[in-house]
Amino acid sequence: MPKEILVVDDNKYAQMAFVYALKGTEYVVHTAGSGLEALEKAKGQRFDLVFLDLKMPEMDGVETLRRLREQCPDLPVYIVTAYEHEFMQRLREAAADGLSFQLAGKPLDDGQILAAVRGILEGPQPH
Amino acid sequence: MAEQPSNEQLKQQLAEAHEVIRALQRGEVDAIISQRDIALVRLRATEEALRKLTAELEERVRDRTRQLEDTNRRLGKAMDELKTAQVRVLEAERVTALAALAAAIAHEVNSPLMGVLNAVAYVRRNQHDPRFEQALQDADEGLRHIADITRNLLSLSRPAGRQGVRAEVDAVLGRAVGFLEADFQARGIRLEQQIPVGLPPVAVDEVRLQQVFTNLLTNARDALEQSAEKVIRIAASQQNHQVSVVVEDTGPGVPEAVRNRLFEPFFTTKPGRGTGLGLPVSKSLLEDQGGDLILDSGYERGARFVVTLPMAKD
Repeated sequence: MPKEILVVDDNKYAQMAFVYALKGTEYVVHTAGSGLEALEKAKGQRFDLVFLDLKMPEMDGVETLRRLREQCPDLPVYIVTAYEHEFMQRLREAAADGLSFQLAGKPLDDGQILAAVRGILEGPQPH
Repeated sequence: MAEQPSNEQLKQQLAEAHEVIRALQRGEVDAIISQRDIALVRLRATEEALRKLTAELEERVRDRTRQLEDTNRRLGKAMDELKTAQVRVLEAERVTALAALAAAIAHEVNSPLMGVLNAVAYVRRNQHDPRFEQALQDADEGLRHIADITRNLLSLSRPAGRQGVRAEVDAVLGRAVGFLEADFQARGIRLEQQIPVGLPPVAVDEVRLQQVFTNLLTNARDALEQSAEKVIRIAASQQNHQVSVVVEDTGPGVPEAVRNRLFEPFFTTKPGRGTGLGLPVSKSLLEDQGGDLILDSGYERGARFVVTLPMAKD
């Protein structure tokens, strides 16, 4: 069964990056343009990995992470960020509250996206 | 014709004459000296006193004037220092604002960049027509280069010195050069580098150091615009507790008239294009951390700047 990946970002180009990076691979990519849409989709089906942007209107990434964790406590989440100051403190708080996530810095190219995906879903890769 | 004195006046004069005679008889010679002479002596004494007083006053005025001129000069100097400090603050604010602007642009550019980069990578992975291979490779490389640039711009806006102040000169130079390499090539500029292996790390913030090198290299690039021979040379060396980096170009050099204004804020030889902040900001960034930036005015074949950096204490 193919592994399902959810990309959450309000920017369509950022979504595009993941779609193209993983097109033709064994992974199926779904996209959500907001935190709310992501939570809806996660309720409807099972995902194996989520790429989550922080800076989104209405519900930002940290808030989305918290709610997502309530629904799916074991779902691996990769936060994709430009390390904006405004989010770092709240992310630290989330981590302190026991919410797990990985961090990846923007911009990500196809190699980095694939490596991130394989790293989480296939276990440690040989260097 | 004088009037005849009256009887009364005559009597008065006689009485005065009697007085003088009696005084003479008593031996008081002073009486001979006329009142007029006494008055003259007194007058001369008064004149003398007045002269002395005037001289004294003039001396005091001169002194006071000198004091005032001194104070004035000191005030002028203090005002100049204040102006310089103000300019420095404005510079720092402007550099911060520019860095923030650069970061904001980088943020905006990042997402579409990610999209395009990955779309092109996808096409490249899956298309097999050899006609398009080169174009796709060029596009791919160009986009990854842009990604390096945005990453650099973002790092500029982060506060400096978070991990202890230390930099490897060859790595930082490599990044600064990498930024500009394609541009140099496009302009036919040859870059010669003499950077020895094993240069000690320096006690200067990486991000600022890169800013300085980038500034010097772009100045060199601009200087070569009209030159027939377009070469930029970078050489690094270690002497005692310092690492020196020299950036020189085969451009027209810096004219004498301009030499001592080079590090003046807002002074630019590129009106409309230069900000006039590159060199003064670079110099103060370095001075802040124990380094320096100077123009080697003895160099005749172009412009030659020397950066000195203190070695990092282990």
